[in-house]
Amino acid sequence: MSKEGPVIELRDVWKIYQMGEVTVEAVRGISLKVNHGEFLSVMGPSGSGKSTCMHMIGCLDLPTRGTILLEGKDISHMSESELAQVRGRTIGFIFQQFNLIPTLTALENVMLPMAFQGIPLNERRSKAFSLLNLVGLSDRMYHRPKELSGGQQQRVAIARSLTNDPRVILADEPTGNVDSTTGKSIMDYLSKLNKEEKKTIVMVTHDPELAKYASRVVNIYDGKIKQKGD
Amino acid sequence: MLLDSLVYVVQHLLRRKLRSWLTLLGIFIGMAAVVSLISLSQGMQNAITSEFEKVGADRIVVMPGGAIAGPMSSGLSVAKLTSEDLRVIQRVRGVEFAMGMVSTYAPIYFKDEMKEGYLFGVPTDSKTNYYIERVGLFNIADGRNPKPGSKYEAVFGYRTAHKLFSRNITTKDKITIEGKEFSVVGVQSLIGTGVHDQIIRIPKDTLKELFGIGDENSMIVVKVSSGSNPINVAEDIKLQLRQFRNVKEGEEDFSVETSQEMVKVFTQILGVVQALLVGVASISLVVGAVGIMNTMYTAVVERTKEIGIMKAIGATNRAILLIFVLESGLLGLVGGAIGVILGIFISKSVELVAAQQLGSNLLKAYLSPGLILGVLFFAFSLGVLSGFFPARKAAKLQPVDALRH
Repeated sequence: MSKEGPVIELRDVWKIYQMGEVTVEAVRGISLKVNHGEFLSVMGPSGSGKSTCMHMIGCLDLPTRGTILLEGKDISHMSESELAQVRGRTIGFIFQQFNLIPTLTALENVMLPMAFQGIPLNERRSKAFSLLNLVGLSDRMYHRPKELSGGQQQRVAIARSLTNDPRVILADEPTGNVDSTTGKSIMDYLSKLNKEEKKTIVMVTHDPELAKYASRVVNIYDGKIKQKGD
Repeated sequence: MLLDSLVYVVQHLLRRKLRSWLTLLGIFIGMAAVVSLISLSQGMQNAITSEFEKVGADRIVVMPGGAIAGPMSSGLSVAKLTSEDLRVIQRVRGVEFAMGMVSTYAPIYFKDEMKEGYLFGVPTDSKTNYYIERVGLFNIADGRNPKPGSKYEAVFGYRTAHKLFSRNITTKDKITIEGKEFSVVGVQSLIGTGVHDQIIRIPKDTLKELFGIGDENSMIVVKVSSGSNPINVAEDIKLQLRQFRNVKEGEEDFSVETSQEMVKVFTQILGVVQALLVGVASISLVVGAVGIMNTMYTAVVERTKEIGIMKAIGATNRAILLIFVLESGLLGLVGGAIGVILGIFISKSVELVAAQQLGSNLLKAYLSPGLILGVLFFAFSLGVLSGFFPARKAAKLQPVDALRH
């Protein structure tokens, strides 16, 4: 896949929910291109449709109408199994609530995505070791999430998102549940991943302070892109 | 993938709440019941088979009464086997030796004690003694057999000598039956067939005289000559007796059984009893399976978010299905394993109590590897089966909905 073309492309994407009698249009015709190596910040108030948008980019949800291309491949009509494969190989997720598996240790959590890709155990272990080293958690590998601070948990989540060497990292309010100092270090780290590892990062946030880390900001309001930041 | 899922599941189960483990209770009680019931009935079957084997394959037993219900039916029958019948049998080809015996229950007096005893009237002529000594079912441990022509000599079975009265009976003792004093001339060694250890053997003519029994036999025991097929000889005996007693085929007022046939009948009866017991035990297994299903459904709801996370990081529907099915299968397997251990414990205890309290060697636990492996496999399958629908529900969850949970 060419590294020059857009990694992610949304073409007139709609997401419509039918809730009983009421029809909710969460995303209303969004078109967007994210280029390789970009750090895009998607901003907007809660309920604006930015999270729905990100779920669709992350192959967690399919659009009602429109087309989503991931590295030129149309994912809008893929089966759940195919989507799982795409998620596992191409995308790394970082969530606001960290979303670690509570019964597993930090090391096991980082190893888990590789298990779904059929990577041998030894390789999984050594890669998880080096990633946890990288995020500075070499002394917390055998701790379970509840024994870690918020910042530490988010760093485990970052390590986990990198395991399958994804080209795209999707971060949903990555600093939403940590204090400002930790938040800054996490943002610095994401920024480093973008600049040094050339990872494409799409970050959803409502915090204008975080937008300064991004190379481009897109504002979503009422399910549509507000053009002025474009 | 399978191995990875297994590792994941084991880690999860090891760190699980007590509630989930309680689910196992349902499974392992059922499994323990199945293991102990099957092993005991299997053991009983083995014991009966070996009793008949001790009696010998070349033995045929002829009894009055038509039913194949064993010695119990002889007392209920009006038909009698006389010395004439015995002679008919003795003339059948392939019959090496045939002996008529009379048995009855009677009070036995020893010093100040009176106990009900099972008297066996056996001929004392030298030919009978020769066969009795060869058969091995009346082996003497101490003393001798009654002499030919003797009237008031008794031989005690091993258990009768040691268990019937508060004091052990020895060859120096005297007992009284129906007002007549008998010398105990011998004590048999432990035969192990149940019947032969529980008897008091006295001369047949004496028994008939004391209890006013006419020309009849409680049973006629036949030894088949070597080289003859016991089943064919039994058929011939049936034919000859039918002609002599003038009864039609199918309306016999006597029964002719080879030891093999008797084993077959007992095996069939035990099979039915076994099926019935296992049926009852299966009810608790169904309850256990429902318990697992319930736990797994709860687990799916509780872990919806976890399922969403796993899907987000690349787990396919199949991977999730495998994880949950393995988890419930493993729950079943652990339940089965505990059940097997408990079942072995129960059946061994029953065996011990039966041996000590009832003096019976029939209730023996027989734990075949096949039974244990079968139960473990069944428990695992039961877990997999009851976990399948909850697992499918988990696998079908939409990742975005699961994550929002």
